[in-house]
Formats: sequence, C-alpha cells, structure tokens
Amino acid sequence: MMDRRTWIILILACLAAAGGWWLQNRWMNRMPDQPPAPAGVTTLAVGDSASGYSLPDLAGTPTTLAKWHGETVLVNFWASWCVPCLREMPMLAQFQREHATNGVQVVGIAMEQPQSAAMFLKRLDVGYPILIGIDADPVPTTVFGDTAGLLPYSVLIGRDGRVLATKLGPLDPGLLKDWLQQGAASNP
Amino acid sequence: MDDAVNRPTRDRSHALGINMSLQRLCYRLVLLATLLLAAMGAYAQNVSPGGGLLPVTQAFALKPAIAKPGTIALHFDIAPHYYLYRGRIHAKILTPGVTAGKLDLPPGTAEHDPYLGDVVIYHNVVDGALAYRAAGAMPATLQLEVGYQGCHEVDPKICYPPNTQTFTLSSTGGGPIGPGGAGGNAPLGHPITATLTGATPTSQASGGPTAFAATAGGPLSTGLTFALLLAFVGGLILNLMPCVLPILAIKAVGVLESGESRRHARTGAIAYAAGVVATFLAIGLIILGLRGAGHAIGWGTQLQQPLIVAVLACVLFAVGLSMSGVVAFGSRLGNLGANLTHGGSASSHFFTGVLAVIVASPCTAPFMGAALAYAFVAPAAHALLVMLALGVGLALPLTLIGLVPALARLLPKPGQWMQTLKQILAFPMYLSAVWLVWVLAHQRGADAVALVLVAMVLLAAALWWHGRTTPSRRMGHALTLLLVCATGVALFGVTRVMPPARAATLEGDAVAFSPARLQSLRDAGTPVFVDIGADWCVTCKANEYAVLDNASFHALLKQTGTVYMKGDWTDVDPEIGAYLKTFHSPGVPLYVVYPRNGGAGHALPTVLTATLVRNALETASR
Repeated sequence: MMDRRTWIILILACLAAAGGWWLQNRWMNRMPDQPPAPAGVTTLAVGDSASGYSLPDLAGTPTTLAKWHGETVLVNFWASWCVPCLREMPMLAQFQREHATNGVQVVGIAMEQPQSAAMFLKRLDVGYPILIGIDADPVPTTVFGDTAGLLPYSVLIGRDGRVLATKLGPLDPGLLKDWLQQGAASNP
Repeated sequence: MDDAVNRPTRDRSHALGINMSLQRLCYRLVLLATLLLAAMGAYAQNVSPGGGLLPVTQAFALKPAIAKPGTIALHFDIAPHYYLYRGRIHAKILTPGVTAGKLDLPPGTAEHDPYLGDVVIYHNVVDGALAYRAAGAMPATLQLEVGYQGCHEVDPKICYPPNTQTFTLSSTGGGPIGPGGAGGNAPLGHPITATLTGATPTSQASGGPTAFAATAGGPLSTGLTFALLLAFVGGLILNLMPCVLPILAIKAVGVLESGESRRHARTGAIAYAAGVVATFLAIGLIILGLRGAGHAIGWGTQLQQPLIVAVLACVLFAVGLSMSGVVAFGSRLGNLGANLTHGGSASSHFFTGVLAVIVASPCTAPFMGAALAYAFVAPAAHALLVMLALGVGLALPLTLIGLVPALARLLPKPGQWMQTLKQILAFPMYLSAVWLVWVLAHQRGADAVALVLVAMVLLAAALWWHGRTTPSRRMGHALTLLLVCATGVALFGVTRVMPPARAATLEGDAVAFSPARLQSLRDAGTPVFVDIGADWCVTCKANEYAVLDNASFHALLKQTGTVYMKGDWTDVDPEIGAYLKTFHSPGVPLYVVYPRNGGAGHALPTVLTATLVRNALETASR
C-alpha cells in the first residue's frame, strides 16, 4: 500500500501537526503579559525578599510573612467569587496537612472583605492562616506581580523569605511537588 | 512489489507518472493539511484573536445606550470561553436627581456550584435594561456606573477581579440610526419624564438571542426523509459548484487514465467515494461535538480561522504547481507504473475525496442549506444520516463513472489532451489560492498576506528541491524537511497577526448589523432586509454580484422604504452566530426580510434572484 517514504512523511506530518498543536496550545493559553504596575508601586520579582510584607488577618491583627521565616511559604490569593480558587483550596488544605511537618506553610490572602471571606471559610475550613488583602494599599496582588488582579494567583517564598516562583491560574499536584522541592532546596 | 505487470507505452507511462505524482502529492498535502486542521479543529470558533487572556474590557465588552427614553440598554459582548455572573452585575446612575430602577437581566444559564450554590451565568451576549427617571427636568447627560465580574472557563481558569466602568450617555440620543428609522425616539432636547411604570423593561426587546427566538421561523418543519432527499440533491449539485469543479476534473482525468484496468477503476471509485463520505461524517461528528459543547458552528465556518485559510491557500497553490508540471518527481517516474497497478493509489483516491469536500466548504449548493439546517438541530443519528446523504450525492457522479464501464466509455479517449487539460486546470487552482489570500487580507491585513506569500514561496522551494533530489541523498531530504518546517513557521506566524481595526466599510445606504438596531427599527415599523455574509462565502459573493450590488436593488430599497442591514461573518462574531442560530441557519448566506408591521422575519433562500427579492420586499412593505 505505502512505501517507506510515505510512512516517514506521514509520521513527520503527524509530528509536525502535534508540534503545531502544542505551540498553538501553549501560545493560546499562555499567561497574559501583566500590565505595568501603577507608578510608585514596586513589585516583588523572583529573588526579592517578601519577609517584611504584612497584612491583617481575619481578626484584624497585622501579620508579617517573617512569622514563617525558615519555612517554605506558599501564598495563595483567592476570593469567594472566584470558582477556580475555591476548586483548588481543598487541595491546598490537604497539601498543608501532609507537609506541615516538612516546614511548609500555606497562607491564603483573601481579596475580599473579612466578613464574606469568613462566611465562606465556615463552609470550607482550610485550616491554614488567612490574611485579608482587599483594603491594603498598594494592592497585594500587584505587589506580588499580578498587576491585573487575576485570581487564583500563587507565590512560592523560600525559607530565606525570597520569592522563588509565581503561578497565575490554578495550581496542580505536579507543580506543588516541584515547589515543594524548590522550597526545600532554598537557603534557610 | 510484483513487477510482472503490463508496462504501458513510454508516453502512456509518462502521463500516468505525472498523474501519479500529482495524486501522491495531493494526497500527502491533504494528509498534512487534514492533520493540521484536525489539530486546529478544537479551536475553531473559540480562540481569542490575540491569544492569551483578554483585558477585562475586551473579555466583557460593555456597550450601554439609551434604548428609549427612560430605559438604558446594557449590552455585553462576552468573548468565547468567558462568562459573567448574573449576580455580580449591578448598575447605578450617578447623576444627581436621576434615580434608577431595578436592573432587569435575562434568565441566563443556571449552574450548581458545590461552594457557591446555585449561580446564574451568561455566555456570548447579555442584554440588560435599566429603567430610570428624573425628579425634575432630565439632565442632558447621564453618568452610568456598571460593575460586573466574570471568569475564563478553559485553561488558564482564572477570574477577573470585579470591574467597574463609568459611562456618560447623552439622554437625548440613542434613537434608531439609519434611513427610515425615525419614530419612537424623543426629539432632540426634549426632557424625558417617563416614569418607571411607563418604561417597559427591554430585556426581551433589546435584541439578544431571546428576542430572536420569539420572532424566528419557529421549529423546523423539515422531516428526516425530506432532509435526506434535499441533502442528496444538494450534494449532487455541489459537483457543479465552482469550488469543487477543478478537483473533480482532475479526478475524472485520473479515472480515464486508469481506464484500461476495470478492477483498478473500481477500486479508485470506491476509495474516492469513501473519502468523500468519511469526510462528511467527520464534519458531522465535529458539528455534533461542538454542538454538545454549546458552540455555534456552521458550514464553512472553519474559514473564519486565518490559519486554516492560509493552509488551504498553500495546498491549492501546491496542487496547482504540480498540475502545471513545475514540480515533477523526475527520479521516480520509472517505477510508478508498477506502483499504480498495485493499488498504491487507493489512498490517494481516498484523499482526493477528502480534498473535494474541504474545498467545497466555501460553497453552499441550493437545497443543501435546508438539509444542513436540519442536521444542525436534529438528533445525532439523523444528523449523521443527512451528512451521509450529502456525501453520497457529491461522490455519486464520479463513482458511477468508475464503476460503470459504459459510462466511462462515453468520455473521450485518454491522450495527450489530458496533459493540456491538467495544465489548464492549474490556473483555476492559482485563482482559488488568490481568493483565499484575499480572504486572509480581510481577516488579518497586509502582514498576514506577506506571511502566507512567504509560506508559498518556501513551499515551492521545498517541492522544487524535493523533485531534484534523489531518494538516496540524506542531506537532500534534510533540506526538504527544513524548507517544509520553514513553511510551517511562516504559516504559524499568520495566527500571531492581530486583526486590523475593522473600518466601517459599508457602502451607500447599508447599515451595519446590530441586534439592538434591528429591534429598534422593527419597533418603529420599518421593513428591514438583513443580509449576513462573509468574504469566504462564494455563494454570498455571487448573490451580491447578481442581485444585491446593483442600482435596481437599491432603487427597490428606496421605493419600499426598506433598511438594508448587512452583517459580516468573515471573522468570528458571537452576535451574528446567535442570530444565525435563531434562524436555524447552518452558515452564511442568510437573508431575512422583516415586514413593515414589526412582525416576524422570514428567511429567503440562499441563492437569490432579482424577482425573488423584489417579491419579498414588496410583500414586506405592504
């Protein structure tokens, strides 16, 4: 039916199509170029220290990230109106339970009023600390590089308090595993 | 490979050789193209033109306008794959002394979320209405503040933060625009004192899909048997449409050339029919799949994707080159005779069938529209049967020639003339490629045209080099491959070109399609002739040329006081997609005439004649 060259061409065509599809997919779903931060706001880039950053918790008590110095901190921005955020929170809660003894701390930052955040947390008890980012100036998402304020957004902070990585969009178990290793490998 | 075959004469072997290499080339190109198209299929209709995530105001484009005194129409165009939460849309009027009523929003889609409970979301379009009244005299401008929040529902699944936009509306404007559209709107500067009770909420009347559902043709009356008959006849006629004819001519030549071997002719004919039918069934399955996922799709809509247009242009160009004999596979002519008799071309016959259907898609044959319309809403099994009937109709004439020797004998004897015919038919191929480049120019502008032309040159170079190199030279093949990859890169570049700003290029007295404007014209009792077309739609262009673009049609419009409203579906447009759906139209063209009394519109056939249009407009204006 078909000679060898036809087969080779067929296989190459398949590879080319798959490659094209992959490129297309990657490009179509690439993360947006975040708009520039407003004038006067310095954003934290990978390698910058975030340990001085402070936000109120649900009770209004200021909490500084330095509280978890020496631990790998996963900061997760969320809001109860963000369905993809809610979908990943049970996974984060489980991640926290599994790795609490490994020096890992998940910190949620709610981009909404404490009342509505607390109401939601009654239904889904995540078990990790929640800070309130809605009224902070400059906007916390902007400070951590998500200048468009898109949610969910997560930031990995090393044991030395420096930003290691960021992720816009839902986290997945594979990435969490990577982050776990990255955090463990960071300087204390 | 068995070499014990009757070697034809030298001339004959040469003719067969060229046909063979042509068919093989065709087959390989189509293979490549179908793979690419299949890979792209999932993206049809759904990609955002610029890629990546859209800025919030483009993902949810909000256009408020004063629909009538006392009512602000809020129109959201939601980009594909984005959605808005009903509960998170709110609007208020900031102007002192003006109070807003309750925001009236359409029902939307109810979804249950384990965390949020029952939520209502919107896709595509939202038409809301906000009633307002002034305590005293109406100020000249109104300050409107609208807040909304939505998300992106495919990867990356993200939500936008709540967004608030402020608009300044002229409280005297917002009336219907276009000839004959006066009436209903307040004269300029007239203070508006409509009360909340007097102002009818216009969520039903402001032109969203819900509004059309009530006025469109209602449920389809076509039965399955009738639809199958229409599909079969439509498929038969499709053979004669300009899109398919050149391909079929080559195919006929192929059948003639294999004339000496009955068995071979039969195999070829069956393979060709299988190719046509399989492609139609594949299209049917894609349609069903997308329909299940809630996406609008129609006949020919793949041509809304610039990459598909560019790939098709390259395929047609390469087929043309091969037909012209510019690229021949010189080194391989010797053993092609053997290949041919061993049925090596069955797959190439199959792919000729695939190619015939792919190039047919810009054409809509008479009767086909109704059959497809039925298929797009019918149960899955019925839809596939209709596709099958279309395929059988398209494949039948050539298959019969292959299967019935008596019919084949009616055709002229093979000879040197076939080479001439093939070379002549190359020119329509080039013209088809030119046409596709022109479509691309409309979709993505000069940059995309440059890229596709570069791709064509690279492809020509690849084919030329492939023809020169001998099978044993590895380096030669590597270079061919490199050139093919470069072609691919140039084609991929087309997807990255942003669409040019679409200037309002409507000529003369035509009005751009907008559901809100259509509704206001109908409310005012103006007859409207809606014409939805696309640059890639050959049938639309033929109708424009024959009927719509001449003085007598425009005189007829004037005489009947009809507004000519034109919509362009060359690029993805959810508003037009929704409109087509309400008329059960599988694609373009769609012509709808709305009568003077504001009654329901009725769709005209896809192929227009001057008499038909005259009768329709005269009836509508009575």
